[in-house]
Amino acid sequence: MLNFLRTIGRYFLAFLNATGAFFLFAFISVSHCFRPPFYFRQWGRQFFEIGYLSLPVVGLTAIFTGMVLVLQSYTGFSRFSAESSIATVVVLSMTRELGPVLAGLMVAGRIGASIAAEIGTMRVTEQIDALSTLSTNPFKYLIVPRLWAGVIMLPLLVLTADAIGVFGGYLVATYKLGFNAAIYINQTFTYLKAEDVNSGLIKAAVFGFIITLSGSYAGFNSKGGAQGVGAATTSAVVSASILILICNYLLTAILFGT
Amino acid sequence: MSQKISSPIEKIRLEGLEKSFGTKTVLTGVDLVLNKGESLVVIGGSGSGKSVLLKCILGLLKPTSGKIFIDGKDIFSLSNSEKEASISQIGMLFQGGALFDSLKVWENVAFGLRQRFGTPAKEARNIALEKLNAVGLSESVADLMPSELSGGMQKRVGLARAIATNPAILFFDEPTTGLDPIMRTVIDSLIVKCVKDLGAAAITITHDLTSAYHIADKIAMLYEGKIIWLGDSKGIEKSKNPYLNQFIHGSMEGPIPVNIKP
Repeated sequence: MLNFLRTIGRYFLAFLNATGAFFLFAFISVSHCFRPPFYFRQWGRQFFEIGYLSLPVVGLTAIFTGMVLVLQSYTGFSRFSAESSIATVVVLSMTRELGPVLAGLMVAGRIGASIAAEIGTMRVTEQIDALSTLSTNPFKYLIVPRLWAGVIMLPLLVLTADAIGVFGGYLVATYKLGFNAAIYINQTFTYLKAEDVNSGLIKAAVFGFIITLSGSYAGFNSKGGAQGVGAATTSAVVSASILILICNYLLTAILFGT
Repeated sequence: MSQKISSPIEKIRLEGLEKSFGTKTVLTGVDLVLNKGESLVVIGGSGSGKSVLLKCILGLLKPTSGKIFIDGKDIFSLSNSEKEASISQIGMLFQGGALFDSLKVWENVAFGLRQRFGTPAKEARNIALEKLNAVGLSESVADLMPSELSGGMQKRVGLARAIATNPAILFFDEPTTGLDPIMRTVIDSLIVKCVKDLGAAAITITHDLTSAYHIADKIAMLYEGKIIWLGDSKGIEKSKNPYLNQFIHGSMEGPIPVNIKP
């Protein structure tokens, strides 16, 4: 019995320890985000890598999501002659939910992994120590540019994803299901409010922060050579994905709570 | 040598330095003094805490207890910026070179100059070329990426980066590990030359004794987190210390336990 309690206690303490370390890391990182010096060349590289190079993956995800949404809602809505609501359903699901969450998850896989692998390799090859000995703060040089790029580029990616997703839906609705193009477009925008799009962008910014922070944290604390970097990469993607799903629920509850 | 003896200027002093990770104690009270122009080699087996010692002085690890003085100032009593200024006069050559693989060779060498003094790119490049020249590399490698260089060349670029800001203190972490015998001699000679040219105080950690004899004015042996022998490099053969004797002769018999199954 005592052994059992001891095991629970040990895991609980380890959990608290890890959570504390993560929040401390987040706090230190954020505090560096607003204090100079800023390494704008590094910022540029990260903006390009996180924003521009994620476009194909996010765009492809968005267009197929929009297309399948139309097919699925058509199957359901045609049973009670509510086909006219399809355009609204597509645009609201894209902007409020699927755009940010799917783009977030795709970017978590792409960027979270690459950040963890790059920073993790720098850690195990002592490049992070080398930065410190060359009068450079590793947080400012490595982590701050990635955090800013995540927080700024993810909303832009999601905005693009929203547009591409709606366009995908439009293609299927007009070419495959024979909707009238003008009416479909009109229906798309009739019930769309600014807050639908905005709430998705707020989510995206939070997800961008979560992805880049998880990647940086896992990479920064990796140890033990190639295996350690591999473990860091996995943990970055898994923790970012789980945190995205949890925060998505919390944010939805807060943003649409009343 | 004789003219230097007059009054040595102390650069680094360690007092009772201890470091443990969880329940594992790595350093158990290291006392050490390093003077200007002096080259100290710390020898010791793998896992004896040699790297940890350097990382504590560099501020990369926080010692559990003990004091570190640089230029007579206790670095833990200084403000953050003063502490950074003290530590930034140390140039470090890392074991694997630790070159930034996203930057070109010359950008690696010029990194410290640009970060610390804000040297403009053109001037920094010229200094970088000069330093690459000093370690025997031609201008043609300057625009390559570190991954395009051989191990020995990477070490030399690492050395050029360490000396780029003309530091007053130099640390070398296993500078010859993984190199062929000729390249070892090249690196050893470069280290001796760089330390002499800069008039710097140097600490080298290694378990390569040939290189230790070549580089050292003084040799210290670290065993189980303590310095158990300290003397000049000529006295090492005559020493009666059983640990030191076993180590320099690479013998399996002696006070240092050998953890292998019979």
